[in-house]
Amino acid sequence: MTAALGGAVNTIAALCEFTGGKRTFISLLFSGLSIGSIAALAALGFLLMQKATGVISFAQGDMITLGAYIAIWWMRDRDAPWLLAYVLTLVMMFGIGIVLERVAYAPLKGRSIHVVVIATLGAALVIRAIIALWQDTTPTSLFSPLKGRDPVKIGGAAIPPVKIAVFVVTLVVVAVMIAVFNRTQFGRQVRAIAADRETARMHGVAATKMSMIAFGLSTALAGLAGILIGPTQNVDLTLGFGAMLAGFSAAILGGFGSLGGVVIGGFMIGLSEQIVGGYCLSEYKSAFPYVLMLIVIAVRPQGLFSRGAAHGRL
Amino acid sequence: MLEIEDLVVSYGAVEAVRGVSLSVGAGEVVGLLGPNGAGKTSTLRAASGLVSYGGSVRFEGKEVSRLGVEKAAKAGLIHVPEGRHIFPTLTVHENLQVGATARAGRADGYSFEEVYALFPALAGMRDRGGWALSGGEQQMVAVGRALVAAPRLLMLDEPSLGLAPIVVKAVFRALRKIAERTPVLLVEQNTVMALKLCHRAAVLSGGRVVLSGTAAELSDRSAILDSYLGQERVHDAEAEHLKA
Amino acid sequence: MGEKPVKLWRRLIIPVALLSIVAAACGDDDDDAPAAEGTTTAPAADETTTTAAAATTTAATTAPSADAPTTTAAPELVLDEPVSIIGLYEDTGESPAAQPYFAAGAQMAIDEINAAGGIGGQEVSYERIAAGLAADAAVQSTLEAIDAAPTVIIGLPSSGQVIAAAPEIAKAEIPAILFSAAPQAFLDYEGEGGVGNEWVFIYRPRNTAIAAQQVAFVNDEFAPTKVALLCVNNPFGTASCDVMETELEALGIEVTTRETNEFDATDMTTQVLAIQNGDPDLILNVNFPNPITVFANQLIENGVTIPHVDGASAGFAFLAGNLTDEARDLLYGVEDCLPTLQNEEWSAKYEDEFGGPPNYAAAETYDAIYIIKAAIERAGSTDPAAVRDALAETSHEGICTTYETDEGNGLHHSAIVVDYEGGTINIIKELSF
Repeated sequence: MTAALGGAVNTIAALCEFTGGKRTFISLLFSGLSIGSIAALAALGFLLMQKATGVISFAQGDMITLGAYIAIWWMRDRDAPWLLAYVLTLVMMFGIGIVLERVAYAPLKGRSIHVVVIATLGAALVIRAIIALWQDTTPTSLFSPLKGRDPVKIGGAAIPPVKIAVFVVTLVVVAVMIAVFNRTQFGRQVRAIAADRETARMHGVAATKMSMIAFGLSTALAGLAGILIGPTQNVDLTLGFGAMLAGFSAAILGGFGSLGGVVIGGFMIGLSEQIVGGYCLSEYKSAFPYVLMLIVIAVRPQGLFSRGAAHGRL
Repeated sequence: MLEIEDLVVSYGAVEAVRGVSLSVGAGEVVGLLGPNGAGKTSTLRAASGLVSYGGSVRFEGKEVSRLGVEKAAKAGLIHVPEGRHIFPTLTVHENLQVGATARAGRADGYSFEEVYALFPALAGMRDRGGWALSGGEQQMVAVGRALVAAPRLLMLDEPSLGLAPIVVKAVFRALRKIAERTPVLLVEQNTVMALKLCHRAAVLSGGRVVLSGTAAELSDRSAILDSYLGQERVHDAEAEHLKA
Repeated sequence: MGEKPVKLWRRLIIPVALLSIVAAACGDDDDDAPAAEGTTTAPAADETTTTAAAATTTAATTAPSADAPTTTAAPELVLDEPVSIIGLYEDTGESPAAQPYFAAGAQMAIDEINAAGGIGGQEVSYERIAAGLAADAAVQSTLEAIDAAPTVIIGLPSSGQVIAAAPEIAKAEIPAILFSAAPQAFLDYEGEGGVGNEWVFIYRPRNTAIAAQQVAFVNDEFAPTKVALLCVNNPFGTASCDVMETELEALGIEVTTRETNEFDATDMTTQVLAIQNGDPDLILNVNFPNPITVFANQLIENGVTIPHVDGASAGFAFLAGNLTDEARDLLYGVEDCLPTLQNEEWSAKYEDEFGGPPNYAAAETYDAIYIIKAAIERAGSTDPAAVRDALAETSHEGICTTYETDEGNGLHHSAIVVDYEGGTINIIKELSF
């Protein structure tokens, strides 16, 4: 047994190459945190919507893309200052989330959850087509006041300020979300709906209002992810897709349970890709988060951070 | 307060309730008795707007189906469901806080502290998760969650179901206190306990009211009652006596 | 439970509304100016992601100015049979990756030819079939084209399409002039899975030939002793990097590292650090636009300021506007053809007609139509075998280059190296092979 374990460790170690010292590690760590942050934000969007409505919306990825494009539109076509553009984008995304709820979810209430999930996929394609017609498909760029700033030197590693900002903003958003979920009546109502929709309604929780707010908030979260990831990439129609996959995996890792769980799931996604993938089998590193997710599904189907059986719907 | 007339509830081709009429007035405690499958729970679910129905259910003059579940609750029609349905992921206190959603500004309801005074067992477990409660504790939370909504009418579905006799007694002790302030529509299979609490009661069988009257009248006719309820005679001692 | 039953009409509203929106989006392509570029949506479409219309370029034209293309056929040719061409490509809006350039370039050439009396006195009938990027969709469209028995088939922008459709074309014995330069599509391909055949001609330069030329270019221009390779992890990247590695070794240049990335990579830290550790003089990159952008910017962040030579996607990376100035000034790209720089007169005409500048695909597809015309005129008939044999003898001066058929049925043998210094596209070298 011990020998077998030792053999396995040796085999794994043989696939890894620990070079570059502290500088490499710190660089990979910040890349992992920044990718993990975006995954965590996307996962929060999934979780919030799932809690309030039971629906997993695959329109989240295209909502991330849409958020970036709306911010570009405010700055480039409407000449809005960047901060105002960001705020207006989040407000618009909130409204778009409510429209999505009315158009793709509300009319399908009472139908199988699969039908609703397919409807969100349809909505995703429609959003993508609308962006293509509105902003065309040429890759473009989103301004950030931090773009092009000199990198911050940490332990010899050059960390671009954009990555640090992504991480910090995500931590703040997560803290606010945790407070909202645990300390406000809205948060308790959402959790009550997630736990037992009918009973919550029997106690006066307005399910429709909750689901509209939840769609609005999770779409605004997607918009925020778009604003944060946009300046680090070329913005095109595929911008949000990878982030959505990472966020979905993060939510699975966290078991669609607690907020903290899916956020930790997000950071595990980012860090496993960048740090594990950075040292071991780096040509396969983009597969690592999904391998991790599959292992978790196989070993602990309820997710890593879920208490016992899943209490929510789905 | 609550006027049910010719209520019909069907699930597909199956009619669970076939023309029930029933009313609960201000200050009244009314029992709805009957065996499993008699249509009691369906009547209650229709009354709180959870299922669509034929006939009419009016709460304070308003048709419940028009109000919908959430607005009916906010109007003070609070339904404690069969099986308690505590929110397992919320703590005891959070369960009560969610219950207060339906209070809608009514001043005369129970405060959180009054609920904890009514159920002292809960006072020490405010932060315990709903998933970690015993059946009796869950029932207390379920009733407390309804009380903080300042109910104008409290509808209780089988509050004694699955509880140990001693816990049932404690629950009914609390219900007696509650009934002094709040009208109650009580669905129960435990007729003895129910008739002690209620002023009036109706017996349902096969989706119809087969017997109704004051609690005293129904207690006097316990033999007929038992035959409708289709259950073993509760009063074993009495049965032995008759044989002799 | 608990929800009120939803009426059927309310359930139907959404699917119907979604369908109508999609239908509107798909049908509304004609009044859209051809400003949309191809994107990197489909990994199979590597060749279609090449470069962009350089609307903002100001550099001097260095290419030979080709006026309206000239043909060498006898003008007195009179054909009895009708001439028909079918184009297999999408137009804007038909899929997220669809570009307007193929349809526009072909239409422009067809209109000119018909206005001047057609081919051999026959008006050319031209029809476009929207061929999807998926292999089975491409085969379906190709079979549809074959059923119509055209004189020549043209199009198929992506390698997957060409590989799937080439055998069908051979079976049907209809000459075809196809766009994607997948190595397997050429007649002289020696590896497994070759689909090249005598009926299929390719009008883009070969990926692998460009890769070899890139190595020759950097050797001449920068004389590096150590080079790092970065290749997107797909057949296009792998094949190109294999060629580059062989060529570099032949020149005695050390390959310090060979890194890979996914086409949708959003963070290139690992690759940048690995390349930096090898301390190369120069980086050769075969990649997609977004990884190029992220990689180029991360190189600068980490203080790696060496030339970074990429292929055709560099143009996209530049036009997206996300490169920092330092990253942009160290970036080089290789393009098949930049009509706005190499043939301003033609480009202006195109822009008048379609409302936006042309790109390589428009110019090359325009050229391909004239190549067909010349072949039919040389063949003196529309007999498929005669047209095929005439295509094999092609020598045609097009918008950016002169097309000549080689032993692999490849027609296009040139490319240009550009840089983006100062924010404009500048041609710095013409390659021919």
